Amino acid sequence: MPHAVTIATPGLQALILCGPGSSFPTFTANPDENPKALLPIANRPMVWYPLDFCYRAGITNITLVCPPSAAAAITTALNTNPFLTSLPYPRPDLLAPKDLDQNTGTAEILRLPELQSAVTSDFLVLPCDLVCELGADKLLQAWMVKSASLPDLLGDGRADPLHVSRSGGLGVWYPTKTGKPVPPIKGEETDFLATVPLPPSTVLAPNGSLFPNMARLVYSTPTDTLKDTLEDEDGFPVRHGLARRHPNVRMLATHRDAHIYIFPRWIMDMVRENDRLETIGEDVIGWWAKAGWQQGLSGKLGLDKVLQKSSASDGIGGGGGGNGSQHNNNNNSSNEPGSPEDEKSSSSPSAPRSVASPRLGNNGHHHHHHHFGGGQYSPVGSQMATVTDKERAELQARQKESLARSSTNPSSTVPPMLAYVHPSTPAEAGAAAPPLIRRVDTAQLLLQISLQLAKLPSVEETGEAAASPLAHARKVAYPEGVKARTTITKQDSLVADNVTVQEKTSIKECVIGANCQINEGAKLFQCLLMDGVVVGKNCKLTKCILGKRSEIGEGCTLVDCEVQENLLVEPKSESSFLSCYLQSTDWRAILDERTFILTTVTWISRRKRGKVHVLVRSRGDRAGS
Amino acid sequence: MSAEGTGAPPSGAPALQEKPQTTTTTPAPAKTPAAASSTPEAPKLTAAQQKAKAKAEKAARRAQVKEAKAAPVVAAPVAAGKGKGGGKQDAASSGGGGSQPQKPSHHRPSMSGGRRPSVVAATILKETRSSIPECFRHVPMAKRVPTSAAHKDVHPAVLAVGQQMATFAIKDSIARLEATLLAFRRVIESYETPKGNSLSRHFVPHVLNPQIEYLTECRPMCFAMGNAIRLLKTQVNKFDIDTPEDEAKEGLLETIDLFIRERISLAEFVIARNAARLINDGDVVLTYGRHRLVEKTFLRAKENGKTFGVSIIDDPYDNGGQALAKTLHAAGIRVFYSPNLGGLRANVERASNVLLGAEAIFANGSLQAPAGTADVAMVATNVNKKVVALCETINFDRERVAVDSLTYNEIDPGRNTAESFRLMFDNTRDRYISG
Repeated sequence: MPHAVTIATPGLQALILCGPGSSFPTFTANPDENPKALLPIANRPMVWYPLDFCYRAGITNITLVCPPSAAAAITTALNTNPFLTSLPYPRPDLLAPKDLDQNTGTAEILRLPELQSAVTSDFLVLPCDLVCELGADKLLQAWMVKSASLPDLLGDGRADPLHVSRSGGLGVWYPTKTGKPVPPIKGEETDFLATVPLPPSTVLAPNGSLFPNMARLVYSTPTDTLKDTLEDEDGFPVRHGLARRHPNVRMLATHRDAHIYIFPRWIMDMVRENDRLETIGEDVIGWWAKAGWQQGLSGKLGLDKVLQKSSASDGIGGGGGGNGSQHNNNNNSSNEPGSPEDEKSSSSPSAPRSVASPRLGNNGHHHHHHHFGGGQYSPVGSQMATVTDKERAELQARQKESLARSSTNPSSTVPPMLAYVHPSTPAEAGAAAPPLIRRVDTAQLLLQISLQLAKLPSVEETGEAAASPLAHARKVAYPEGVKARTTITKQDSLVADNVTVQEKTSIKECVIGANCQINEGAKLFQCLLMDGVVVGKNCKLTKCILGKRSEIGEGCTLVDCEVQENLLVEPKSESSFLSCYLQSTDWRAILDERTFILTTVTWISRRKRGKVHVLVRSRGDRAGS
Repeated sequence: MSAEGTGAPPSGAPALQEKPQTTTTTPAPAKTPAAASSTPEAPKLTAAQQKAKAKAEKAARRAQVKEAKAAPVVAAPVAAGKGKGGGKQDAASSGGGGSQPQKPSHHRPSMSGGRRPSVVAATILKETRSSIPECFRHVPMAKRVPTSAAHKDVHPAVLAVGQQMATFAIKDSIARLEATLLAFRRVIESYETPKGNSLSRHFVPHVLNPQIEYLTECRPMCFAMGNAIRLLKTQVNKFDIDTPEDEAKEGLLETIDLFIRERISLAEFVIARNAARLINDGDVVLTYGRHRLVEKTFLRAKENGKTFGVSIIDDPYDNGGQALAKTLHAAGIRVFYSPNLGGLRANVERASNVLLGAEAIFANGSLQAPAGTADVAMVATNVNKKVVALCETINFDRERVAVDSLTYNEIDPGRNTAESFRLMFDNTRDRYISG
């Protein structure tokens, strides 16, 4: 029975971006009818996870953003799916801006007028494919304490509007190559980030808080972009400005951006003013992080204006009031995000630069500690500060300089963009096991994360208090449907409602969706079955992902396969030797190839209205193709 | 003796602390000339205020009875009877009866508001406090509740302020007071009286109390916050039941603005101005830790053209002195820095006078200040140096007296193990402050 949220709401709203899911070619071939947001992860629709993440922290003002074409499917699911309907009240709003299609960049989405008017307060941006065991309240606490500015939150009108410090933001990065709790997955995207430590706090961080892992972000880019830069530049160019400003930089190459962002409202203005920004992760965060140390960049991004304006008219929510001036600003700075790039590439060869070779390998993350020009800023000494004259002069000069800078340019202090770098080892996390944070955007991840979630002890076993927030109520939701003499390994399997399992079957490390039917003698190992799958007698399935309502004929042996929804795999099909990677979406080409290579596999294609789909997609290495 | 009835904590105040209270009932002579003379207006504890307080206490007692009734079905009548009786006896200042029945309630009377603390908070509290010996159980400690354990009526602004307090991002009493008041402003602004209710009847129990309760769970309130909240509640009670909502809200906002202006901004200005006059050319002024009034005073004196040095003895658990040293150094003041109390006597002897910042001042004139302040004051008195303490009147507590550091204190939640725990404040008797 759904109930209202009973905890305090932190005053932020959440945007959940329900994207197209281009990385699930098998299951989102038709993204309008089967949007990625509704793919099941461990039997719950994907979008349940970010929604639950919000509700757990008391955030109830949630807006799902999706293309108009997918709105109908998502609305239906919100009204009918048992998991989505059992979420607490109030229900999330669905926003389908008319100019939004499946290829719109995330920052472009924020620029849409519908979003500009929908976001009225500080906000969270979440992807629909986020599985996050970590409570949002901890992130919010970190944001409230380390990044938000009190005058901003409290609307302290007395402070000088030119000098008021504005709230910053917070992002989350998680390690991809740790092997725990999820084994490393080939081809998972990573991001490159550089952080500097926060100013040391005099107070011990409370137990269980995220403060020890918080850092200030100074550089962020997807690893792909970084690789391009590395190839072009034959090394990684580091601006001297960065080194001067932050002598101690930590660079991480195998972490990934979880796309959890806590943003202050003024980000909407920044995005609106800079129409070159395409994505949040690469452009907005990247430029913002750089503007924190790169001189003049905040001016180019129009941050000064944005920060002042929003402090002058806070909470009004970006009405049409300032449109004229915005336009001017756009003209003045139309090429800004491009120009710093040019500048960077042109100036870096002439200036002596320090090239750090990041060795972007698979062997964990690398820490580069640069120590430049020591003694620029010596902390006040241990016993009766013995500051030498030279140092003092230097210090004073620096202070004067910074003072002069801040007086000429009132908001040259760009609010910080903080990074929570999720620890990979229990020792760092301060708990038995670090909570799971993962984006699920490939089929392989879908399988692995589902299996991982299936291993969580259920609420039935551990009790309400100790269970993970993502645990299911029961491992086998409908025990009556399971016949005797079957093997289901309960510690690592999950069987949903209304599943019938016939005798002599074996289900090990599997996630079985609702209404599935497993017939006699079937053996399933590390499989993910979406809703309504029928597995024939004596099938042997290993590491397969079976789409909604697909049907596997008798006696099939499938390994490493993805089966699209509504499809029937002929009895006695075998795929164990399939090792070619069929990537082409042109089904004819595949069929040709298939007839050539895979003669022993019979395929039946159509079950539904003349559409021909690829029946079985086999994953594996590319060696065969 | 009116302090007895209203001031003493009804729950678990050990008897040993009651004793000195009765012996030292001399009215508090304001030993802090700078502070006392500079305050724009002294807070009067009117009869109405006392009444309100008594009322709050009564409500708290009732709530406790209710709680006891609700909790164990079997023990309900017994516990309820005890709770009631205990409360009354306690008011009559017999320590024995009052301390038994409600063991785990560490709230001060005005804080236990009337709503149950959430289950999560209770478990957290139990875990962290279990290591503290029985005789120190009355000393409160910041519970640091997560936002997810807060009551659902807590306003977002208060939520953020509470988290900042819980993590000690804002920790000195005036900063906390200011943030609280500003957050309450937001609460009042967003408040709408439900139909069939009036602001004066509805606002405090249903809106304000959950906020206060949450803030208290994040970290025990400081005296300044207690004073301010009492004032605010009185203001609400003053409204006639028929006062239009807009008018009442306007009035409350005005009260808060006035309060901030007079008790915080103006007080700070006047105290800094007056205290700066105590600094002479060529002085070396010693201070302990970092206090914003002391810092303001130094900067003010520098502005006035004085040349002097500052010797900072830092609190080793809270290196605020470093930040102070940086600020003063940037302003061109000569700074001596010592990271802890080591060699204190030598440092004090070298100084010409001592300027201390206080967290609160009790009715008997003793000073509550960050742990270590008392040592500095005692040594300074010993070597005949002038000791001046700075404190805003809003931090004065006119009802409670304290002669030791254990009556009113706080346990540092970050340093609290089975073997040892740290008290955050200490008590400096008035005789060590020369004024």
